[in-house]
Formats: sequence, C-alpha cells, structure tokens
Amino acid sequence: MALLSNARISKRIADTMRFVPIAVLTSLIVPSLLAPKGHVDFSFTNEYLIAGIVATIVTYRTKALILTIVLGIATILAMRLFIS
Amino acid sequence: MQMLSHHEASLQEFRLGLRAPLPLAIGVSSFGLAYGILAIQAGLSFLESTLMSLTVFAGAAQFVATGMLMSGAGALPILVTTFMINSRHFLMSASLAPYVGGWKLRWKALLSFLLADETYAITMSRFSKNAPSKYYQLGVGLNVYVVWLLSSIVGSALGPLVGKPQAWGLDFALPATFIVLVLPMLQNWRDVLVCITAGLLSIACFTWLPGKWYVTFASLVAIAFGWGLVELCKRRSSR
Repeated sequence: MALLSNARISKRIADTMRFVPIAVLTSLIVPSLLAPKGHVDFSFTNEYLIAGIVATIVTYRTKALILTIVLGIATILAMRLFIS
Repeated sequence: MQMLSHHEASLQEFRLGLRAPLPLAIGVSSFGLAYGILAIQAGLSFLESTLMSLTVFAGAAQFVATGMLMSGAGALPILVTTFMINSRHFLMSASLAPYVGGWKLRWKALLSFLLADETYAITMSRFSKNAPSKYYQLGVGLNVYVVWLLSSIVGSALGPLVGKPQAWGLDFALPATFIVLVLPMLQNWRDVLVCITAGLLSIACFTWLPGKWYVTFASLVAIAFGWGLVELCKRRSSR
C-alpha cells in the first residue's frame, strides 16, 4: 500500500530475476533429498527421495503447505518403520 | 435496528475482526511452531528467532530465509528470493487499495505491516460484502500476528528439546517448504528447464565441489542458462 509500486526495473533484469529463486531453491532441494546422509542415494530405499516425490504430487494437487509437510514426514516415518 | 455511535460501531468491527481468523489459527500456529523449531535448529538464539517473528512477520519468507542461511546460501539470493516470495504483497495491497482510500497514513502503515495471506483473505471477503472498516482489518491482523508470534515463541522454546529432528523426519519440513514454493514458480517451459538444469547440476556439483559451493555454482549456471533461453526466444521472435 505504500512504497515502490512504480519502480521501473529493466525488463531484461526482471526476466532473469525470476530464475534466481527457481535455481537456488532447486539447488537446495535436490541434494538434500538425493543425498540426505552425504552420499548420493538414488535407490527406492532413500526415504527422503520418496517423500520428495510424494510432496511434489501433493503440492501439485493441493498447494497446501502443512499437508505437504505432514504427508512427507509421514512417508518418511512409514518407510523407516516398514522397510528397515 | 438502533444506530450505534461511531465509537461503538468501530469497537464492534474490531471485535468481529478479532474473532474472524480463529478457524485459521491452527494452520497459522503450526506454521509458527515449525518456524520456531527450525530457527533454533538453524542456530538462531531464542531472542533472534523471536525478534524475526516480531519484526518480519512473513512466515514463508522467514522459513525460507532461515533454511537458506542454514544451507549456506549467500545474502543476495536470500534477498531476491524473499523479495519474490513477498511480491504477492504488492498485489494484495493493490487490491485492498480501493477500500483503504480515506485512511490516515499511520493506519495504512500499521495495516501494511500486519498484512498476511490469511488477513488478506478474510478482509477481502468481508469488504466485498460489508462496508470496509479499518478496525475490522486491525482486529484480523492483530489476531493472526499474535497467533504467529506466540506459536513461534513456543516453537523456539521447544527447539532445543526436539533433539535430533532427523530421527523423526522433521528435517524434511525444509525441502518440503521449498517444493511448495518452487512448483508454482514454474510457469513456462523455460522455468522448468532452468529448474531441471539446477537440479542436475546441483547434485553433480554436490559430489565434486567442497562445502556449499554447489548451491552457488549450480544456481549461477542455471540462471545464465535461463537468461540464454530468454535471449534465444527474443532473437527467434524478432526474425
């Protein structure tokens, strides 16, 4: 309601700026899910990887943050319980 | 129906506003709780994490900034990302503008600070059917703010007690939040390609580069790649 509504940022810079969070967040997400314990783990026993897939699907369908977190953590706990 | 004095009407609006967000309180407080715990795990002191909730009051931004700090991202990417996450506030403020025209500047400033997704949703819904009241919005804003602040204080207090969050899979809350934020950002094929590039590069760099450099390196290359794609499309369309 207050300040910089009329800031005229160069269009080229604005176009590139949109990539910053996409790139940075993805760079943070992927290794934390594929290598949660420091080494790369592509297998289906990597509970973080599976939880990540679940979270992506849940987000795609519902966009709900709390639900995504809860289902993701539930996936991890379920996998640890049944697959160890 | 008896006419209330201006003073009584304002108070009534305020009370209505104060009560309105209660159904959402569970969502807001669990988010606040998660933030508090995360902030402590990230190394912030109880005071620091509480101050952040007190002064910033922007859940997603606080969550992401803390997470990014923890993961070693630099100040600039954090600023840009926070800016983009909160850019929706510009839109929210713009759509509220028609209703707030006559209000004094200090009211606008206070209400701007208190603006949150939940506050916006409730206020817009109310103003579309009733006369806009700054007391109503103040009530809503205060409710959400206080719930957020209290729950993040509790979270910060619980933080040290949670022990190793990894044992309970709680460390997944962070990548989960990032996923929820990134997915809506992917609005065209260029965004998706940049995302895939960043993903592939980051895991490759994670293996080859020391420390947290993989984040910066993968991001920069992916951003440059995205910039290149934009340029390419411009050239093509100007032929």
